[in-house]
Amino acid sequence: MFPTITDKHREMFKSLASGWILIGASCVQLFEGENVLIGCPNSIVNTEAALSVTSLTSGLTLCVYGITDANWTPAVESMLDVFSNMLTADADLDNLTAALVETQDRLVALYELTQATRRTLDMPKLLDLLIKQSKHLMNVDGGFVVLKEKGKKTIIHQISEEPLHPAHAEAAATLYLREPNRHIFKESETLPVNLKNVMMVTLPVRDEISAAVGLFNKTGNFTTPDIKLAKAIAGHIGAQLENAMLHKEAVERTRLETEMDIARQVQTAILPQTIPQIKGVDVYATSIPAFEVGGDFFDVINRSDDSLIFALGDVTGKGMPAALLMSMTHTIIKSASRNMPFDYPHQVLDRLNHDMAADFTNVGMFTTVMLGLVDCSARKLHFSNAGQSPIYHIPAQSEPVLLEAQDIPVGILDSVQYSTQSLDLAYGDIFVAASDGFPESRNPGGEMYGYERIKNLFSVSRKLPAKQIAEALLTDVNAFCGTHPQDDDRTIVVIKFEKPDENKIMFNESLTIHAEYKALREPCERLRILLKRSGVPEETISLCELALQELLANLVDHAYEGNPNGQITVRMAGSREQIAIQTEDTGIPANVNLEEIHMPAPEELAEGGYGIAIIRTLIDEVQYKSLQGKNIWTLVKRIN
Amino acid sequence: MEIIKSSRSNLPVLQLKGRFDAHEVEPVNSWLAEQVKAGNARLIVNLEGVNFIDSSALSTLVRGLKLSREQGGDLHVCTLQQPVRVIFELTRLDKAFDIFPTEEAAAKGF
Repeated sequence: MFPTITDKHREMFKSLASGWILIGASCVQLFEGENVLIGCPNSIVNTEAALSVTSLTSGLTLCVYGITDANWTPAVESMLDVFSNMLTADADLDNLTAALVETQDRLVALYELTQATRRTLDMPKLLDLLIKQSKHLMNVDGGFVVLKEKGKKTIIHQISEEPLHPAHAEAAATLYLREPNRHIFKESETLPVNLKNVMMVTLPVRDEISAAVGLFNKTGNFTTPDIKLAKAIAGHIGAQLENAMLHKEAVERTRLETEMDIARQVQTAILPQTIPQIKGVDVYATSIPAFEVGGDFFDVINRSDDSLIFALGDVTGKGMPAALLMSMTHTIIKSASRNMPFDYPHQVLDRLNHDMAADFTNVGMFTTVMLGLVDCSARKLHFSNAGQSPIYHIPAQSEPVLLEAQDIPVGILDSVQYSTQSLDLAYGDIFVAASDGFPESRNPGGEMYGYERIKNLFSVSRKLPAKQIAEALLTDVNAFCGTHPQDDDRTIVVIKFEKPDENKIMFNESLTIHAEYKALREPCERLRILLKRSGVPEETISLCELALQELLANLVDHAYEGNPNGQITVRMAGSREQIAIQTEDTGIPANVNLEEIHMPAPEELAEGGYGIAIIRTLIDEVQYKSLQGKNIWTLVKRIN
Repeated sequence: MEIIKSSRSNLPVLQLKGRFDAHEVEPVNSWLAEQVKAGNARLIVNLEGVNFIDSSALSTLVRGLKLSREQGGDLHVCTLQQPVRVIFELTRLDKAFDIFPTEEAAAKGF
């Protein structure tokens, strides 16, 4: 292609042509094919004979009319050369200028794109901008973006006069993702029918998302500069898109946190702040919510002077929906327990299920509930268990028993009939309802705390008051989990059946000491003070103090073998009926058969071996257990 | 625990006051060993001021008793408070030691 003939060209042609006219030519004309580009003089059409030369490189023809002498042919050729070269050079210059203008256009467009995207964090808008700008700059029919994230639906966003079938866009993206170093695909290949050509570039978002931009049906072909430009646009939009995603996630996170805060407040607000106490029952209940509130609830309600209702449940799911359903469930249980005439707890669960089944079904949730009724005068415990676990019965005289749930959770079937089980209570019997947050707690290695550990712990903590039984479990689960965060709420209700007036706790405390002789004085003297304050006779005080001293000295010598870094926790609890002392250490497990230990005979003049024998003589019940790396000694002294 | 070293009728007396337990046995042990080594096989331990005694303390006294008897002497304990006496009885060590109501009686008892 030659540039437009300008006046400059005409002037030059005229001066060269005038030479020919001087030597007798009538006219000089320059042709491109059949068309006259320039003529001199301008408008004369000559038919006479002429010298005519055609350039092989430019395809131009120069005719000099009125001259036929072939000797002049080289001169015609040189004039054609001069002119051809000039026109070619001018054409190149024109092209260069055009390219410069286009590059400038593109830079301006990119700048405008940057400005536009800075103002938006909205993903569809950004994708629109990306495609519109690319379309505008590269002169294509349309464009699309494909976003693929593992486990999520593929997103296809497109702008085009004639939109592509999403499957075609995805097919093009798949083609590209298989060959990411190739960018241009032509119709002859595996492209869908309505695609003439496609150019694909990567949209750099984040590692877990593979994203690509496709531009299709360009008039002519895509070129390397097109790829570069598309990459530049995609790079910019990709960064902005990532910002948009982060922003969206931050907003979502804040929303979740706010929701969790509210859920936690709801849960905290509805759980009882004080636990009612009735004669003959030592009750303790507590709930430690997880960060993502799990929907646990509990309640303890006085029904009369000698009967008590307790409930523990866990609504499925987390956050706000769980908190709302939990508060509704809790309210119904509370009001039914207080106001509804019923003999057995299953009647309350029937009512609850009837009232709430539709609501639960609508949101695809349900709740487990254990509802118990302690009847002190009849010495009975009636309970109804809709899927709550674990529930333990710890009889005073035998090992703890895990009670399986009899019925399905509330909110699953409207037609279900709940049932009640009854236990005869003996003094010292314990009933524990807990949430699955205990057995399902995990340590950093992923191991679950499990039911067996709970049972073993109860078999040593059973002599303690209700509060300490619960706290011992919470402490042990915490220690087990270590650095692993609490995944679910931990809620526990402990009911201990005791002789009326004898359940009064006179003291109940614990302290931790280092395993060295000089540290033993503190717990011994503390015990003395507690017992004296409780009105225990001096002789009993001395004996208890001695038993504790002997036990602790034994741990210093044998559990820790004199290593003062060892720690011993001492728990002391006293009621009018008995004094319980429990120690916990993490030293060497005792290898001792208590039954075989006797006081050395005086004539032996033994220089040791008195310690455990003294304890056995003074204390009514001595128990030793090694449990999950901890050694637990329990001493119980009954007061007459 | 407070330790007072004295003598009565030329017999070494160790007078103890306070809590006599595992943490306090070392100086008593040393005193008993020193005395026997110096040829004083007849010893008196006055427990008048002791309100608490544990099995380690008892074991220390038994060791002293054995050392002194091996040298032909004896170890007399005296003036036991009631809680301490109970513990001697509990361990039946009241059968092993000669126990005296006063320091004077303990000295005369040799």
